[in-house]
This record gives sequence, C-alpha cells and structure tokens, in this order.
Amino acid sequence: MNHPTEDELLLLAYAELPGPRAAEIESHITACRACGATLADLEHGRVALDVALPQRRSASRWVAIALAAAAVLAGVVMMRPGPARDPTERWTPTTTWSATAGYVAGGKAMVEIDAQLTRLEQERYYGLPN
Amino acid sequence: MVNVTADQLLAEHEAALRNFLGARCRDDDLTAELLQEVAARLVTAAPRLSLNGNARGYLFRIAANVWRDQLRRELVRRRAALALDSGEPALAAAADAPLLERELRAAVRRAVDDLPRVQRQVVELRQQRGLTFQQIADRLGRPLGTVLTQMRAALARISAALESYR
Repeated sequence: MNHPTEDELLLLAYAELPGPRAAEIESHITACRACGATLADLEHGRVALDVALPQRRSASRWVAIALAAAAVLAGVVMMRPGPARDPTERWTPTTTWSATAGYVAGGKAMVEIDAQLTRLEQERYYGLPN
Repeated sequence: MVNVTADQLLAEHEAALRNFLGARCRDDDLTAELLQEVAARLVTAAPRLSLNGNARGYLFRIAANVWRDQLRRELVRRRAALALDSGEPALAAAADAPLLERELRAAVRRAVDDLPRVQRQVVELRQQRGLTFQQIADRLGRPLGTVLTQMRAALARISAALESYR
C-alpha cells in the first residue's frame, strides 16, 4: 500500500480515522519505520497537549452537576432534625379532668361542645331502630 | 451481550496488539512490557466486562491508553534526566513526577500561547472543547485540510519548544 498522508496520520493519532482505513494504516506502519516515526511524533505532541490542556467540562455537564448538588442539599435540609427541645421543659397538659364533662379543654366553650357531642352520641345510639 | 474472559480476549488479539504497540515504540522489550500492562488492565476490568461484539475495539482502546501513559512517563523522565545532567539542584534533588509534570504543563502552555492565532484556535477547540477536526472546520469555516495542516504545524512547534523534554 502507498504511504498514508500526514493528515491521515494525524487523524489516526486522534482516533478520528474511519475504521477500515485506520486498520490499513495500522498494518502499514507495522512495516514502515518512517510512517511509524511520524505517527509517534504526532502522538508525543498529542500527549503533551493532553497533559497541559485537559478537556473542559461542557456547560450542560456543569448544569447537571449543579442540579444534582441542589437536590442533595435539599435532601439534607429536609432530613435535618428540628431544634432540640430543652429536656427540662415540662409538659403542660391542655386538658383537665371534669366530673361532669369528662374532661375540659380550653374553658367553657369546650365543655359545651363536649356536652353536645356526648348528647348526640347518646341520641344516635338510643335512636337506632332495633 | 457476551461475557468474556481476559485470557480469551488476549489470546485472540495478542498478535495484533503486539503489532500496534511495536509499530509505535520499535522496541521488543518495551512492547512486551506494554503488552503486560494491557493484560493487567484487562484482568482488572474483566469481572465487570460485558462486551457487545466490540471486544477488539475495547482492547485497542486499552492499548492506546497504555501507549499514551508510556509517552507521558517518557516526557517526564527525560525532563528528570536533563535536570540531573544540567545539575539543576532543585529539580535534580526532587526529581519527582508531580513537580516535573507541573513544569511540563507550564512549558506546553507557554508554547501554546506562542502559537499563531489560527493554530491556537484549532488546538484549543480540539483539546479543551473536545471537538473533532471536522467539527472545528465547520465551526471556523475552514476546509478540513486547512485545519489538519494548522494542527500539524502547531504540534511541530510545540514539539520543538519541548525538545528538551524528548
């Protein structure tokens, strides 16, 4: 086969040559020292550039990373326990026992509501047909 | 989906891999060493390896990476040898890879900064944006052949600037 062009060797060094042609050139450089040396020079240059100028992440990747970070942060905030209670703080009951209404919660109004509910319950129970 | 073993893959493609690496380094001992490295990486990856008819492509990608790592080590090693020869005390004493790599990076960046603008554009789009040469040609409105010539010229200038590293 004829020698590959320098452009083809450059494309091979950057893995941009179509498969069949790449295979032909690979086969050629096994036997052709000059083409092998040219390819090695190009690959040396490529490696030096890879060391110094690594590929930047695209904007869409940064957006995806930002969204993932926001999701993690939201999860952390939601899972965080509330403010710790003072263990010495005493619980003040809102209900007190009443001999007439059973319990009283929140004063006279609640007593009346409770009484009405009791009456309704009784009416419902005794009012049901047998 | 086909599960494969590292032994099977290597046995099937060893000759081609040897040619691939040998054509580049032209050194039988180094070729054997690099082939061992390919095998080691393949064995490491084998438990989670499931290829869909692309075993050869996968193997050659490993081989290409092994070869590039070798070139990278070579660049750094040559810089270390040069430092020892020229008696640069700081470098010769440290002679450690991170320091030498940092120096290499700085030298390449300087070389890129010194490139003519048309060449620097191509280098930056290829290296930092990861565009193919065809995409670069489309973006810059230049023929593909022109872009390839500019990239080759850029690589030649960078290689000349790094002569002491090679």
